[in-house]
Amino acid sequence: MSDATQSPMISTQHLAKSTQYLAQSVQPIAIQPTAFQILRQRLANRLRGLLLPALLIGIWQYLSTLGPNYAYAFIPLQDIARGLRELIASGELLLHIVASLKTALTGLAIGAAAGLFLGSAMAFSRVVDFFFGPLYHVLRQIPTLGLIPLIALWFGNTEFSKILVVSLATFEVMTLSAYEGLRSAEVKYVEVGRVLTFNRVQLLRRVLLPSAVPSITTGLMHAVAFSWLATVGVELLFTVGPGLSVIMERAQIALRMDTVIICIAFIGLLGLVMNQCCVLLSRRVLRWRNTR
Amino acid sequence: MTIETKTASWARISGLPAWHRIGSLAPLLLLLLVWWAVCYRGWFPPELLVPPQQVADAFRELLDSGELADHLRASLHRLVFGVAIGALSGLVFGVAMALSRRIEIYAAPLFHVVRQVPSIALIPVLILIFGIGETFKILIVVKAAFFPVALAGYTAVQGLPKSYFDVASIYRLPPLALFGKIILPATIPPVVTGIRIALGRSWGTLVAAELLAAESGIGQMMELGRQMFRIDVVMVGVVIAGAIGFALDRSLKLVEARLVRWQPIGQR
Repeated sequence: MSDATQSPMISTQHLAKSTQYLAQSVQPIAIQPTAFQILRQRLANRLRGLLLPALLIGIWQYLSTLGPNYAYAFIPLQDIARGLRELIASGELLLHIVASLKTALTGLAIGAAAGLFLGSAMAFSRVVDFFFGPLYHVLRQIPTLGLIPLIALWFGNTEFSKILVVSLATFEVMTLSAYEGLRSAEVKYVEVGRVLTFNRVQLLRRVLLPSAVPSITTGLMHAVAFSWLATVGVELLFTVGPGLSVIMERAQIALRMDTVIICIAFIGLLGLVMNQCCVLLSRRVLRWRNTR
Repeated sequence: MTIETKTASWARISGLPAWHRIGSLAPLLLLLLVWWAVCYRGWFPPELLVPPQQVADAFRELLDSGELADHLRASLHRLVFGVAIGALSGLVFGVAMALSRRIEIYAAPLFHVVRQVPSIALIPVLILIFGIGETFKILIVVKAAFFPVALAGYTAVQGLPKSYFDVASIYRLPPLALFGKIILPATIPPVVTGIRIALGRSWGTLVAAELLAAESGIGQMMELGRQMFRIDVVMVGVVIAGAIGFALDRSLKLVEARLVRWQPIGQR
């Protein structure tokens, strides 16, 4: 009985509530943003992302006006711009960038080739794996840049030492990724190959290599990043010959903050460009994979 | 420099039967023997290659004089201090960026740009601003540790299934409980992986920074050894740098293995 007396009141309340909910739930659909609005939103978000860097640059610029004590560490922006113009006009910047890239790419080529060779040898031959596996894993534990004093003693402050360190850094990555890639082929695919009486070359070409490609590509991407990192490190520590970090280290000793900032900017930029190249390359190489 | 891999480097070896594990030492002993033989026959001048026992002697000498302990203490102090600050702030920042769209919009571009700059490249600018003191070395470690952990925290929280949050909102979970009961347990394993990467990178960067400018530390010990043509001291330094890197990596791997015990094997 009490149910019946109360029910009209509840239902009116409910009706009011549910229309309210309905209105709320319908609203987002009603104001579906247009393409223009989405574009504007994205642009606004981009600009918001620039706010923090702009603020930091503003603080930097403000600190530079506080007096000579600050101005030597926090170089005003116009001085950095002038330094950049000078470095570009004299052709110095290009020279050092080319030299650094040459070190990185030479080291990368040697290290990656050697790593691919040892990694696949270890994957295919038990004897090689037995002898070189433990040695490789022991060597791998040492921070590559920590080897610099030893290499400096053995080979001196030379271009060769620089390339050797960069090659070692890339070699470590490539060996592991080649080894794991070639070992990662699924057993059932290998068995299918056996059923089809593949010989060793066919098995390698049709089964093992395709399944190793993703791992090797990832390894190559890491190797590119490490080669650049190692190049920066060896150039800082050897300070010999031309190179972006070589002039950065010299600028630091000469208290030239403007040059240091410019060098850091270009080191970051070149690293980014290399990374993007690798991403594009890996997408192209791996386009046959149906990824989720 | 550490490399991320699917299989643990030594798990492969340690998973094998005991006799095989001992067998993997054979090539290392062989190398030691070749090294000794080469020195014994005098194929290389002693200023380029010293026999293994001389390296061992140098090690004992450094150990007895307390020099090694001092250097180790200096290096590890910087490492622990820097990584603690870097990893903690990185974790907070990464999780905040994943939870709040607003923070992501404002901070992500700067984050990804600074992430691109190798830590080592920042050494000169930090020296210019802070001088060759402790500050710059700890800051370089902080930088090296911040980004891997921030990225790990960010991707871990981003990767949480949306249904977890839906359930939490149905139960009207307060933010603190949401953090303690859902976000933390689900993100800890990837964050520990991030910390492991951060430790490896920080260690490599710290050794490089000490090589460049320091008054103590393993890197400085090696640099001094190089300047005085003490190749035995340099080799002791190389071995110790490797051993510490290995120990850090190994112990964090054990923590990782423990933390993912509850997950089904396929999802690890």
